[in-house]
Formats: sequence, structure tokens, C-alpha cells
Amino acid sequence: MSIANGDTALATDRHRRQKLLPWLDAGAQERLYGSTVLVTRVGGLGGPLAQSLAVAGVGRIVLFHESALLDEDLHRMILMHPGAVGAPRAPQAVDSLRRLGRSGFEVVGFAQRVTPETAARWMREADLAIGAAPTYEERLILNDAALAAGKPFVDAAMYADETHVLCVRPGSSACLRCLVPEAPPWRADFPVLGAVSAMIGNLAASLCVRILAGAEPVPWGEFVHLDAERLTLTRTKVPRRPGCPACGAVPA
Amino acid sequence: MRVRFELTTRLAELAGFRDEALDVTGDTVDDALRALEQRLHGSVLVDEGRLHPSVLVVVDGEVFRRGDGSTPLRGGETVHLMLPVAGG
Repeated sequence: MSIANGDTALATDRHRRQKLLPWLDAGAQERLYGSTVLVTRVGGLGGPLAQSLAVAGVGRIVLFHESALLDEDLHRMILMHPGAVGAPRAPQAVDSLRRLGRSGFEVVGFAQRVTPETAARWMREADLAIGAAPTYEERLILNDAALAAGKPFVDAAMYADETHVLCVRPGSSACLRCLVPEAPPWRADFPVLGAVSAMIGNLAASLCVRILAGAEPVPWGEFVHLDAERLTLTRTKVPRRPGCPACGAVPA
Repeated sequence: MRVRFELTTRLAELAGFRDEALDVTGDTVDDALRALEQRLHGSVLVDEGRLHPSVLVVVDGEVFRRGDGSTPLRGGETVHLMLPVAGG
């Protein structure tokens, strides 16, 4: 037996239960259905994040994820297929996400690294950009492109048991470049447990849904640090950096 | 005076501690940071004796900007240093 991807007699309102949330009424759900998000990388953090956005009813996900799947990715990259080691990651992520979305849900995938040009092109259509890449450079590209387009940006990241998220609102909050004026030296083989990268990916996804739905509160401009070992959460308001090349010229 | 430091992620890894009280010579935020920079001397996050500019410095819950380092300390404060990471 096969059940078509989408609305059936058995599933007349897939999102009925989440619309019981006081901040997510039918109008907010319609805004989700009509929304487009741009995300760089859908690995251990961005994969669960994109998965949660797909099932929540986001209308379109545009993703960039370069290079081929390694066996050692499979402990955290839940959108990838264990039988497809050696194959490009982006088409696997697209395939997994398409299975999760409702009728009309669209996924556009690029098996390449995002660039300032491609980010600017897609931010003309996207309502929100999301940084989930294992490089500062890709995150800053999306931060800059979102601000230039006057759109919000969510950055979520982790290292070992520590995780953080930053929600950027153009014209009023600090941005990722205020927080990271220079990319620090980075360790590409950072330690990661899939459960922890998924945890911060899903926290970020819940904030993305709030932003797309037009709900408040959102911790705009706060460095939200969540420690999965100590089980602590701290919120620090990041000051805007005077003369920031990314957000300094964005009108309120 | 003694100041309590709390470090995150790679800073903690490189310094070898998450929480520790260190002796500080002097009485300003810059003096406190200098004590930590000595501890991190030679690490990739200290360049020409100064912490990387992307380290977020928070003293008793208040963010300090670069250039505000002459702000006085009494001793007993908690200096929280957070380094945004890029694991995804």
C-alpha cells in the first residue's frame, strides 16, 4: 500500500496539533506554508533543523551542501542514506526532506558551497537565512546576504557539548559579524555527538518557525548558549558593533 | 586580587579549564584579560599577546567592548569569555 505524500482522507489537517499553540494560529500557519528558507549545510545540525522545518510546513527549503558522504558522517547526518557513502550529500538531503513535506512542499538543493553571489540571488526569494555550516565563512556569507536583503538570519552552531544560537533582525539587533568580526582559527574535525548537534538544530528550528510565523518573543541579538553537559542556558545581549560592515548600514 | 574566569568551547580546551579563579596583577578588565592571555600564551587564539577579537567578554553579566578595558574591577567578579564556534 502506498500513501501519497500530502493531504489524504486520513490526514485532513496535518498541522492541527501545532495550531493549538497560542502563537501559531491558522494565519501564522498559512505564513509558514508560503515561506522560503535558505540554509547552508544540512549535516548534523542543519539536517535535523531542516527536517523540523519541513514537517512544520515551511513551503520551500533551498539548501547548499557540497561534497560527498563519508561513512563517518552517518552518526549525525540523519538526512543521508547509509547505502550512499561516496555519493553527493545534497541530493540525499533533498530526497529525505521531500518525503517529509506536505503536498506542495518544495526543496531545491545545490551540491556546492554557497557563495556571496548565490546567497544574494536566493535571498531575493527567501524569507529567512540559516547558518548551519562547519565554517565561519559560509555563515558570514548568509548573514551578509540576509542583511543586504533586509531579511532575518538565524545562526546555530556547536562544539562538543556546547551549542549556541543567534537570531539577527535587520536594522535593530547585532549580527553575526558584530559577534565574529574576524573568523577565529577553526578545527574542522570538531568533536560532535549527533544528539547534541540535533538538539541545537531543533532549538534553532523552533525559533525559525516563530520568526516565519511572525510570533514573539524571539531572542533577537542574543547569544543564547546552551551547554548539554552542564545543562545550563545563558542569554547575553550582543552589542551592535559601530561601523559593522554587514549591519551598520541597514535601516531600522 | 582574584577573578573567577568561566570559559567556553575551544578557549576552555586551550586553557585547560572551564572555571577557575586566577590571580590578577592590576585592577581593570584589561588586567584580568592579561592574566588569562598569559595562561593561553602560544595558543591559536592569542595573537601578539591579545585575545582574538571574536571572544565575547562578559563581566558579571555585562558585555565589555574592546576599548572599555580600563573599567575598574574590585576583585571577586566573574569574567565569562565566550568564543562563538562554527560546528554544524
